[in-house]
Order: sequence, then structure tokens, then C-alpha cells
Amino acid sequence: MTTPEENWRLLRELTAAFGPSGREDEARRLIAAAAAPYADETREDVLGDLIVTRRARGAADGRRIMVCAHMDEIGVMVTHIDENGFIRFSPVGGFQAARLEGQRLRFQSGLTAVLVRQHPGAGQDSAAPPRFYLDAGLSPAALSEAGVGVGDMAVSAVEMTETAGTVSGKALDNRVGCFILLETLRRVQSRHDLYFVFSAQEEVGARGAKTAAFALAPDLAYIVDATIADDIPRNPVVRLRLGGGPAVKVMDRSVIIAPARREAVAALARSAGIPFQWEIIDQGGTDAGPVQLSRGGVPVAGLAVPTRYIHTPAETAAKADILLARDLLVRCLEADMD
Amino acid sequence: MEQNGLLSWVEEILAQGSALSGVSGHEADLSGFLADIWGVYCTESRKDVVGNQFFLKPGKSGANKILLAAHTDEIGLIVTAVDKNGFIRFAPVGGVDARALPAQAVTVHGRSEMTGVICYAPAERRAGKPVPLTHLAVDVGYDREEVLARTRPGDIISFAPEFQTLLNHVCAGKALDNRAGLAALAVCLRELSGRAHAHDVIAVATAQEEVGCRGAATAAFQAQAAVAIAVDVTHAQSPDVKQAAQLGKGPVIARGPNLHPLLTEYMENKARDERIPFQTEVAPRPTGTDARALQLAGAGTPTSLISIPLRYMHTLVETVSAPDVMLTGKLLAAAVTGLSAELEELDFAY
Repeated sequence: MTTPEENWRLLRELTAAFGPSGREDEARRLIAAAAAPYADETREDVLGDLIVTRRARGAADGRRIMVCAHMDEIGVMVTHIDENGFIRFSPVGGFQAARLEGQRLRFQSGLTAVLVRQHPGAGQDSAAPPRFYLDAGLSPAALSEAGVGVGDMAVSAVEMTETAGTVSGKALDNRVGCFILLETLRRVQSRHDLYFVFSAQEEVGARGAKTAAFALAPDLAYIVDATIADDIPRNPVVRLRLGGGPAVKVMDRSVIIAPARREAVAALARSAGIPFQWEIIDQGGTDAGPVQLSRGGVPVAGLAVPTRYIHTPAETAAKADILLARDLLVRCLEADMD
Repeated sequence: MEQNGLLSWVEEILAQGSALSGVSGHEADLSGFLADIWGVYCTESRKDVVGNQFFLKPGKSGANKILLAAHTDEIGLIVTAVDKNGFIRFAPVGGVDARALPAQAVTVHGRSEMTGVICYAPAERRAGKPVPLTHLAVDVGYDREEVLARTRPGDIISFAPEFQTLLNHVCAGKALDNRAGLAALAVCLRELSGRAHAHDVIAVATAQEEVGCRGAATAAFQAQAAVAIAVDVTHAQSPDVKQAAQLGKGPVIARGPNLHPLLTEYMENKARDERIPFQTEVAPRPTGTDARALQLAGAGTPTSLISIPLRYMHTLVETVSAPDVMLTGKLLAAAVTGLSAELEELDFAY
């Protein structure tokens, strides 16, 4: 499968955009600009969701479909800066400091700092849980001048890398979903009114999708996200692997998809010759949960890109899976509704 | 119907309900059963997109709606993969107690239904610790190729123990959480069929309670009822559970911030009026029942929680007393009838 080089450049830009939960403005601006040529209407809501409307083409059937991918990423928030300029922080979403030791984080102002494991100190209990801090090499006054203070957030500073078959970097969870939505928006010709929601604050509890679903009251919703690929060493029973095709959601901690809904997606995949895998994860929820339970209930289905090392700066996904997820999503949105 | 006839009807419902499979998100197999035990007393029924099934029993005036909610779903397992030897790996659906699983019989709902047994490495058991769920698997007898032809990830696995009738009208089996609640609502609807009640009764068999009270949230949003009563089970005393309700001592009325004080008091008074013995349960936090979702859905609903004492929750030998189930149904019927006169007078605003 060949794809123009510039498409992967868009994914690279999307992953580079700063956008921890609640501070999605940079990501949102980038996405809004990329969506603009294909959007009939674009708006933001008070949670920070970006909602791009694409009205029905051809003989409109009056049905409304919500397509949702969260645009926020995990990160940290500054809680305290000591007299030497060492920065204490709290996680925003599922950020695990122990997996980022020695890595560089970037603040919205552009300043970077390295994540350090605190030395336990002489006579201290070495069994105590490790503590971490950020070191930007600046004094408190210089930090303030560089635009970093308590309440500011930082994310991994890693840039996306590519091989012939894979992409790797930070925030593939879920800029890969945003990328799929944008690529779908460019292609789709649907008789349904489509609402592309780039949701805010998913990583802290699927908050943006909840209010977006309430506001839109759709007839059907598709959730697109990154999910856990577990084709890693010493795992005898692999559930999801890179290159096996997009994952069709069965269940996660927040949702059980109605069997008929997931079968409808599977049938479209089979008829188009798109390979797919079933996604069953018993850790982590998604936007699918609150969207399904919005108002009196919304039928939901989910597509996901299997991704190794989720919630690290080394998230890795297969290009083929991403493009096939896009193709499957286009088919889902163009299909007649029952 | 005289008492003993009603009791055997309850026991029959418990046995039938326990034999059916309705793992969270896959409750459709219970539709016919619900039509038999609830539908015959109601005028309409419909399903929604989350899997809830609603039944309407119209009242004389229909001025208000009373929502009675009992969840249909049960805990179970879901196929995640088939390993190289043909053993089926699984994940839990709902709060499965891994200690209760080894060596149990199950049904795998694949292309056709298959009986299987839950297997484990005996050496692990000897270590004296419960075997973690991730080390268990289901053996259906075939090798990998044949198993993959019959099942795939996403298929449901339900438990398949024999239903047991113990002495003293006590029954044991799987999924009595919350088939006992469904049975209690059946008793309520049956009692109501011979009585006048002013308000519409919406009986809802809620879906997906065991994975986070999901169906109740959308059901309450749709119903917009004046009051809601959740009917579920609660822990009863057993050798290792002391601070709990007692089996055979009647329904349990919960008190706590999840439940509306006025409605709770009304339920207690109704029980006293009807000489129905009841027990009290204190729930300082949101209850682990549909009541937590009913209370907060939409603009909020005054909610009460009536529970049936049950021993060994979330195991394959959940144990209930049929008289408790019957009395729970009678209390619900009395509450619905009583609200005819009183609903307008109750001001639920704090």
C-alpha cells in the first residue's frame, strides 16, 4: 500500500502538537486548520472539544453519526518549584514517571526539562517508592521568565520516527485517531450528517466526549482510538498484533459493544477485504463508555489502531493498520443505516 | 394465590432464571423469560440500545411514573484468545471471584454452545494461593484448529453449575444476583394485577449493572419517573461475613445518601403497615447497585433500594431464601399501591 509522503507528515505534526488533557489548544488549532477545507462547520465547546460538521452529500437520510477521536495526550502538571528550580509534578492521565526516567519533557512555552529519579539520600529507606522531579537547569526566576510556573503542563519532547512499515513516538494515543478522522473527512461521501469530534480530556476520564455526545444526540457513534498491542517478547497468548489490521472493539473497561454493532463493522471489513482483529482489553476505558450512556443511550462501535508501549514516548503502530482503519471507517460512514 | 403456591412459583422462576445466560452486554436470551414472568401482567414492552427491556403496567390515572428496576445481567467471562494447545483464554466480565473458578463447568457461547471446564496447573493450587485469573483457561476437548473453528475472541462464556434446592425454601445457583430481583418484581407485578394503582409502573430489566450500572443510567433518563426503586441482592451473613443482613429475615431497605430519605421512610412505613418483616442496611457511599445511577440520571430521581439477602455473592452457589424474594415483591406492590394517594403529597425537594 502506498501513501503520499505528506500524509505521514501530517501525523508527525499531529504527534508533535502540545496537548495534554485540558490544554489541547495547540492540537486543536492544528486539527481545525487541517479539517477546514473539508468542513461545513467547525466549532468548539466549553470542555475544549472540536466539533467538525460534514453535512450529508447526495440524498440525505437525516441520520446523524458522531465520529470521535480524543486529541489530548498524557503529561504532567507542575505542582511546586523549589528554591533551586527543581520542579515537582503530578501526572495528568496515565503518565508513569518510572518509564520516562532520563527523558526530556517539553512545556507549552517550548522550554524543555529532563525527568530525574530523586536520589534516595544517605540512610533513607531504599524500598520507599521512588520520587521524581524535572530539571530545566534554571533558577525559579529564570523558569518564571521562560513561562513555566505552578499549574503549567509538560509532555514528552520526543519526535515521531518512521520506518517503512511503522511509526513511533509520543501521543500516537490518540493523534493516530485524529489522523484517521482527518483522512476520512477528506474522502468520505455519506448520506448521513457526520460530526467529527476531536474530544478533550479523554485521558483523565473521557470527559469531553460525554458533553459532546449529549450536545449532538447522535443516532450512532464510532469511537477511534489507539489500543494495546501485546505482541511483545514472552507473551504466549497475543490478543492484538501490529500489522494484523485495525481492531474492532468488543469490550474495554468502559463499554461492551452490542454484538450486532460490532458484527456490522466486521461485515463491512470482510466485504472490503480488510483484515481486522477483535479488541478486548480489561484495562483502561475510552470515549465509547460515556458516549454509549449519553441521554437515553447511543449505539456505539469502536475502531482502534494496535499500538505497542502505550503511554510511553515509544508508542509504535503499523502504517498499514492505520490506513486500513481509515478505509474501514470510510466504509462504516458511507454504509446505509438500519 | 395462597402463600405456598406463590412460594413454589418463586422457586420455579429462580430455577429457570438461573439456568439462562445473560452475561453483561449479552442479555438478549432473557427476553422470553421476562415476557413470561413480567410481560403477562403488562401491556407493552420494548428494548433500548443498551439492552434494557421496559415493561409498562398502566395505572388508573397515569399521572406519574414509578420506575422499578432490577438488573438482568450476570457476571461471566469473555474469550480473549485460544492458545497453541487449544485452551481458551478469557477475561472477566464484571466482578468475577477468581477463587471460585477452578474446576468449574462453563458454557462457551461460540458458533454453537460448547460445554467446557475451567482448567489450571495443579502445582499452582498446591502453592496455597488462589490461581490468578490469567493462569486459568477453558478446556472444551479439542485442539487449537478445531477450537478456532468453533469460537473466537469476543464470545461469551457463562457458568454452568447445577441449580440446587436446599431445605427450608432456600435455593443455590449462579446468577441469583439478580434473578432473585427479577423474581421479586414478578411477584410485585402479579400482586398488582389484582389491585388498583393510580400511577404507571415501568418495570425495567436493566442491562450491564455488573460492569458499572450502565443500563440504569440510560433507563432512568428515558423513563423520567417521579420515583425509582432499585431491586437487587445484598450480602447475607455466612461463616466469613458477619456484619450483614440475615437470610430469611425479609427484604433489606437501604439507608444512606444514595437513597432519598423520604422515600426510604415511606418504604419502611409500608413494610410496617403490611406487617412485612424488613432489615436495614447502611450505605454510607454510593451503593454498588442501579440505585447509584437511577438517582443521578437526567435531572435526578428520588430513589430507594430494596435488596434480597444473598450468601456467597459472585460465586456459582449464590444462595437466597424464596420467602425473602416473595416478601420483597409484596413490599414493592404495597409501595406502588400506597403511592396512589400519597405521591402528590410527598415533596421530595430537600
